Amino acid sequence: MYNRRIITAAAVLALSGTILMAQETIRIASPYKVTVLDPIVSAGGGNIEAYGLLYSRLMRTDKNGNLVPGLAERYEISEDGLTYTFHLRDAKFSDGTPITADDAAFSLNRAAKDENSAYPAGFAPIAEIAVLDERTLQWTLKHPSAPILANLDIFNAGIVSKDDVEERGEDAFVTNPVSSGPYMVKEWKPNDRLSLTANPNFWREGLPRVENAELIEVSDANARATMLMAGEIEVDRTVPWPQIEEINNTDGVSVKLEPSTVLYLVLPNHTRPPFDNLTVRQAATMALDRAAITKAVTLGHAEVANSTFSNALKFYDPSISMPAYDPAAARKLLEDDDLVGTEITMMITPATEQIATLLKAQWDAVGFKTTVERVDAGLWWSKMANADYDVTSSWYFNETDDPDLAIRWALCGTCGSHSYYTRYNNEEVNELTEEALREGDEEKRAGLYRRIQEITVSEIAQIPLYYTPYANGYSDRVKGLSLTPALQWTLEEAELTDG
Amino acid sequence: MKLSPMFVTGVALVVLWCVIALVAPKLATHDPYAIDFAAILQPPGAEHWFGTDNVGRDTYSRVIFGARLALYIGLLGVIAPMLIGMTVGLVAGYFGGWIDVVAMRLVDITVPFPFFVLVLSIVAVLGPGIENYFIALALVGWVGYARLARAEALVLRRAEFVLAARTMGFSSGYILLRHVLPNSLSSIVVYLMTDVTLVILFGAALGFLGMGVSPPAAEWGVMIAEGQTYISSAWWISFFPGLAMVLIGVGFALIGDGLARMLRIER
Repeated sequence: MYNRRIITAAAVLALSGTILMAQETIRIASPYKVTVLDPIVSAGGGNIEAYGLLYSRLMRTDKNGNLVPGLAERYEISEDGLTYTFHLRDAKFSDGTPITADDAAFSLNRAAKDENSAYPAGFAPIAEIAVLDERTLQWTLKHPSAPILANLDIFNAGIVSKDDVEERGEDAFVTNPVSSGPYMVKEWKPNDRLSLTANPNFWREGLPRVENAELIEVSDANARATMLMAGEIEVDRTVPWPQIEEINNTDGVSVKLEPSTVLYLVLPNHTRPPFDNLTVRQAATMALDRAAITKAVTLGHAEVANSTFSNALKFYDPSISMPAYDPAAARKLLEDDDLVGTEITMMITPATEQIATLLKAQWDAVGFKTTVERVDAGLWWSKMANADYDVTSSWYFNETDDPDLAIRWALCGTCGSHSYYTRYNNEEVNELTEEALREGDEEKRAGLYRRIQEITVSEIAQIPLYYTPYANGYSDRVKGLSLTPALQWTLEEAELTDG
Repeated sequence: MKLSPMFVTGVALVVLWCVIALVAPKLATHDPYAIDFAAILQPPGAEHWFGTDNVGRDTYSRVIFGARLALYIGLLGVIAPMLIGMTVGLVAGYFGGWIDVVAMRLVDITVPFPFFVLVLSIVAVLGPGIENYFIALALVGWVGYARLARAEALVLRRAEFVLAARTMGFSSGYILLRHVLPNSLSSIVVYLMTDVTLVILFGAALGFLGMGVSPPAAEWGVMIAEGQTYISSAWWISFFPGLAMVLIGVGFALIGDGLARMLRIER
């Protein structure tokens, strides 16, 4: 008995020298590419997920979703809410140099003001950032901003080394970037994988627990699922709804549905017929059995959307709801205004083929005439930016649970992205957006956001479809790893168990 | 001439598919485009023989209607390449000289590129759609016919009956049409049968890649693509169009093989 066990053990050892090494590694396979490691220049999903592993931020969201001090040990806010003073903790970059207030100011200024910054909106209220001493940073705001502290944990607020970036320029983010986060780059092969190893100088002591991590690019969902079930990876980022059951039926792996702020929606173009007409938007909404569409697409894994707000955002109001499914009433609306036969051109990408088929069927059933225009993702964005479309469907997520940035992206007509390129532009909503940002009182803010939801729902700024969770597949060996609503891995706190 | 069993099976399969395509509306149990929210991802059963897809369409009816598109693509897609290739090959082989050199260099330029890669890039440049697939086929697919026809013409131009016709003063055009073409036709027809299979398969491949017939058309390649993410939970969406493609492909291939065998025996 004893001998047999030794022989088995020896055989396993002999066979799997490399596998034993690999056990120290958490491998995450994702369809989302890591294309750039500079935290300010991209808002692409794959990049966002990598930034958090390489760069720590002044504030941190803990695993319960609470905002806690990060690289800033503590902070003070002046009474008028305009001056913030941050005291940095004693921390070092991966190259051993101290993380100073200079570095923090440099990093935040890049995110807020650099012309290459992909997402400066969260830091727009900042007027000036001053370095008081090596470990003290102070900024002044143009006006109060309720979510500004939480915005410090957005993906592009990671602290980078000023000296290194100034010395090496863009190259600082290509070969061996200096890291302030839990991991640093071991090797980066674009279009293949980003290999990470623990940053020995990471400020949270004893972390990360797992020595190595790999972000592997695998675009095919079937391939990822097979790899997960075969133990070739520990995490499958994004499991398509139809595969969830199979993975859950496999021993040793399971799918976690993780809360997100993702909202799938139909985007009408408000600048041109037919969707510039409220009646058309109302009819198009009532024509849709959104519950059936949700169930058909997500196989019951998502919740039907009722509001132009994600239900995971603060101040979401569940009592507000879109016009209910009523094809007869939709038909009547069209008949009364002599709109039967209105032609709709729906722009879609391959990813939205199924939703488009369902939308077309239901719109045509009440008297629209829908044609489908297929474009690739690149063309989709350029047509969106030029308002050269009738209607399309898409989704977005918000970096924090505060609605400010979500509204600026999707509902505010004067905030840069023209209400997610729908050109919906309601002055009251625009003003409310600014007012709510400056409002310090939570209850009053809730009232303002409630008003925004009321207006945008009654005017049907967009047709929300459903709220989806993130569906990620995990090996049972991985403990404590999750993807936050802000698309950040809690990898530093994760563990790998045997068995 | 004794009919080979391969040939008979092949003809039977192809005829069967032609009949299916012709009477598709009678055979189908459902509207192939009708969306049914209540019957999404139903497994094969009494109501839906081949199950339903991710928007509740009946897979059986879609496969049946898909036969129309497959035959349309396969039979129409080979015409232009065949005509171009045959003409170029016969003329080049019969006359020889600089015509032959130019034609064969053109062939040599086209051949080294993998056929499908070339078709794919042409369609990518012209834009997705079945018409552009036909154009790409005409640009690339003639090469095989040209080589074949040239080889036949090279042999035939020294054949006694051709020499006899020439001494009798018949024009080259007449000889090509009445003597060379009919005698090289058999090998071209054999090749044509394999080419039909290829054109159907590549057409479906383009549909699968989103560069051929576009959804929601009941095209087999499109259907296989639609079922791709469901392959582990709802295999029937992709399986049945795949099976149909195999059966139609095997049909044409058997005809080609059977014909080749019969002709070889005859010679």
